[in-house]
Amino acid sequence: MNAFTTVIGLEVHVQLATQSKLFSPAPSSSLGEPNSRVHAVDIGLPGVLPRPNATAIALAVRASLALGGEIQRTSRFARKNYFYPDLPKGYQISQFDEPLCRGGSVPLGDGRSCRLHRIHVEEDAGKLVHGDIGTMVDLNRAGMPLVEIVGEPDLRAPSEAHAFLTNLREILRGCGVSECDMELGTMRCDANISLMPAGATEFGTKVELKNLNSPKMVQRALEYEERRQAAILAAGGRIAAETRGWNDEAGESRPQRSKEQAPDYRYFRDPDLPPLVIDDATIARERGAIGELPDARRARFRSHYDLPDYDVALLTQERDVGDWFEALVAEGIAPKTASNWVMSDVLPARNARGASMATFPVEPRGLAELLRMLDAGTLTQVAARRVFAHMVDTRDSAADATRTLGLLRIADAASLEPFVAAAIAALPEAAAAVRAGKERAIDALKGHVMRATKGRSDPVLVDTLLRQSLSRG
Amino acid sequence: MTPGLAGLSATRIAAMVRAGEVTAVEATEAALARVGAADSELHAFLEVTRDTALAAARAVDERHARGGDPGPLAGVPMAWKDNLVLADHVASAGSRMLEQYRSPFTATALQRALAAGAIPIGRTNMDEFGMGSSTENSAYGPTRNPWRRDRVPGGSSGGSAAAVAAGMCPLAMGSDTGGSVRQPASLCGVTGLKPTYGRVSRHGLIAYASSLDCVGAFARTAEDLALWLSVVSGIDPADPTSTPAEPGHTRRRQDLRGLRIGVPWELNGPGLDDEIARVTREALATLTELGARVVDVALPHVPHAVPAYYLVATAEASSNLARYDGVRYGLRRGANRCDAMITASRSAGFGPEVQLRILLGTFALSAGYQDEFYRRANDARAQLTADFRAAFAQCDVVWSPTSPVPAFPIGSRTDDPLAMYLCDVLTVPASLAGLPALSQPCGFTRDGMPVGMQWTAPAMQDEELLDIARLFESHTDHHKRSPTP
Amino acid sequence: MQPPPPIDRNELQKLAELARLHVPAERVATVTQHLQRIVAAFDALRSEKEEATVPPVPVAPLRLRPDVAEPPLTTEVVLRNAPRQAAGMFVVPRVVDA
Ligand SMILES: [Mg+2]
Ligand SMILES: [Zn+2]
Repeated sequence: MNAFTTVIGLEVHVQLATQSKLFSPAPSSSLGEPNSRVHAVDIGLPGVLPRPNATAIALAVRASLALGGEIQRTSRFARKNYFYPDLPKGYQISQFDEPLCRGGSVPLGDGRSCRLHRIHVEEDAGKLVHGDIGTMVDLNRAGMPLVEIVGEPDLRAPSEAHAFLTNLREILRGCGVSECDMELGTMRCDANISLMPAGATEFGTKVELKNLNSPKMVQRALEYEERRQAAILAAGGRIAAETRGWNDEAGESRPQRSKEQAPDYRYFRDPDLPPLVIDDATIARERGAIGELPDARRARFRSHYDLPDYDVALLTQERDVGDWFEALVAEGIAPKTASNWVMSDVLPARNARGASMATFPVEPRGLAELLRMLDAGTLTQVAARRVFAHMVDTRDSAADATRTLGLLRIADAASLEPFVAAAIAALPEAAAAVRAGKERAIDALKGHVMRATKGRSDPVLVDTLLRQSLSRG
Repeated sequence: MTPGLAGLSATRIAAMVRAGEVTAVEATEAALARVGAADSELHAFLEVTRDTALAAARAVDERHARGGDPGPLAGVPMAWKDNLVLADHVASAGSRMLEQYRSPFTATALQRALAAGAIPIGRTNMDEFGMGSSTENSAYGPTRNPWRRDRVPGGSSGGSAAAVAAGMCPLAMGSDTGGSVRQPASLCGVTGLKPTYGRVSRHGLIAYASSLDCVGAFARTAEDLALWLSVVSGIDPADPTSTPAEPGHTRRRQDLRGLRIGVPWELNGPGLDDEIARVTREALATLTELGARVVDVALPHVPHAVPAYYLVATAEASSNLARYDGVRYGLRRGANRCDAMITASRSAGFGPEVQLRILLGTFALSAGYQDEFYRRANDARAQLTADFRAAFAQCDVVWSPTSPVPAFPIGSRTDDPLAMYLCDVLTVPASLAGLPALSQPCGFTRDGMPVGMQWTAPAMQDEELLDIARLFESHTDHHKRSPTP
Repeated sequence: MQPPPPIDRNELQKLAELARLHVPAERVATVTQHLQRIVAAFDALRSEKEEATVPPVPVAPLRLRPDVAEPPLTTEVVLRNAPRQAAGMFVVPRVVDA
């Protein structure tokens, strides 16, 4: 029985998958050399004005819809004013009291979810590098398009924060909004955590945690913070409102700055940017682009294909993989057979090559051809797996690969009889044992035939021929 | 060199260059010679870009010689306010902060004028970042009024107004946030246009107050301004607040008969200098003689215009000028900590009036005061806009003097910012409402200083204003008088 | 109606910090007085009884740019006006977190 209830809220920044920045046409692709992805707008040169990016807005709308938020038909950009050398204009263009989206939620599994307060669009700041001669400013990241997703303090355990982030990532990745890679910084998370006595209704003093680079790290940091605060409170102490940085190697958080005094950001509507109006067509288009959300997909795979949970989980982890599986089924392959092949052959081969499903050398149609040959008895199971590996290496068709490898199944008695005879001759003790009634000894003889035929022999026919031969004495 | 070339209108020079009667180089040299003779006393220019101008003029002549179209502004010598950036040239906005700053790109309005054949002869003096009504707030010293050297030219585009008034060029670009083109036009006896907000791209205009800033221009005739507007206006992808050219502009007005002139008492009441009142009353009488009809209209929220303007403008300015932090460009003052460097650089780079306005704007936006001040100012702005809309139901244009006072002596108002702000009482209403407005010469005070009258039209009816001004010119000759050199 | 908010030396100090300006001691009195007078003159706005009943001025919605990347500036141009630079970056004195 815990003495305290933990209250956690997350704020997540996600970088939108665009070609150019939010307010400038500078490329938003890989960052490269310092200050090599910079437009006049990104330096905040005198006379520049923001040029808002249609795709960034579209992706923000898509993210909002995918998370079940309510798109605000008219929203406004606002300026958040503060001085910092990584902030070129002396203000960040963000959204304040008129955000793009209100509400929404992120599923936590088991049918539970965490409500969202709001989702808004904003630009990223540059990067500071601390050196010997001073602090260096790189503006490549300045102006990158972000959505900030602000969760309600609905989470009650660090493990729920982990679930929030993995599910959020799955949803946003699935609909093409963002790569959501915490290690690469395309998804960043700040966590607020407070403790209150069990049964209380008023939240305790909250601490903000920063520097969290993976869902695992978020969980670890929150677990640490939960213990730290509980110990202070149990000893009758007071929690300081502060921002703490997580140090993963040390496994502890350290105070960064006090939050006693809220800074005065002097937010006001950006006079350079007219109201952002989202029309019906945009909403319809982006809703269409979301496709099926992970929860719905899992439910459908379970019921429609009658697959076990293990298979469903694996096949729905990445949208491309699920799509590939479904294409294979559409070729007429039984769902469980298709699932087995995707899990045990396709995915390992793809992972080994570091490829994506889009660039994977074998298409569902090619594997279906192979599986039909297998079904027709032209190939054995063992041979089929070798053929598949060859197809991945060479992009050959199933028929060509089988021919090249000489792996057509041997299923006529005349061709197999010499192999059967050779096996009995090579393993006289096993043959004697079978004759003496030891059924299991026949496996050794079968194995010999299989090895000699490189797995091409039909196992049922081999069994029949062996028994016939041995009974003949 | 053709004598008197520098005194011709932009329209005339372009026609002559296009007809092959003079070359762009000749027109340019005439202007440069006039600047050389007159500017040491006036200080209208911060930099005369002789080499750039002659290179541009030669390019126009070569294009013409090859049979290409030299453009509607072919060979027209043009100055521009120092807050419009020209690639690879300094743009200082009249500030120490940007004394050395060179822009890598060109302002859209400037670019369009140059593409039309205009010749960039130099950048003109201004109140620092556009903050002032006299051009005394320039970090590089004041500009003098060509009509009397001890008087201000008005501001903040005083350098451009003085350059045109003194015959140094027929056309000069400026910017108007709360009257910075119209008021100096009035004080210098030239015609100045503040277009509808958004009609001319702000891209490349160093911002003062984003929701009010308009690129405008000075000339000696309305026809020249119409030519300029046709060249520079229109939508610009680099300015999200730019608007498309008006769809289907009305036919050119042929005379002033039947024109309904709205005269709001709020802009014609007490507080006007006696001479301004007399001269503008006479101009109004002339207009009625020409067949125009005077209609009384009301703009009841005008008393709130100056406070609303100063709160909105300084609030936006406090944010727009935050980029001058000594980090990426501009003046830097040393310190061993970054935050101290930023404060030292801003304190050294900005003049007193700019600092005062940044502080006022910071106050207007700060927690606890934003609702009472900034938000109230925006409400007043909406009310004033509605006032104009109601007035335009009764009249075609709103008329008033441009400035409550003629050009005042240099140094006479610098100690009292509030008194200076009240100079803008007649021009800020149109700025707050985003409406096109124009000032044109309408007479002279007894001691020979020019007086301007201001026309304000509904949004996007800039051409209507230019037509009215052109028709007034065709019956009067105030615009033809020039200061004795 | 409350009296106009006082802009005293403390308030000026707070504003100057927010705006990253240093008002030298000999200018504090003048600047405080100027701000005080301006704010007092503008107080008429606050006492305006009438609510803003007029609908907001209609503005054309934001125009959006197609998401096409253009070649960025060369690093040379990016740093052309930099007061100090090294290794392709702007250099500032050490940043000390408050
Ligand atoms: Mg936030
Ligand atoms: Zn944010």
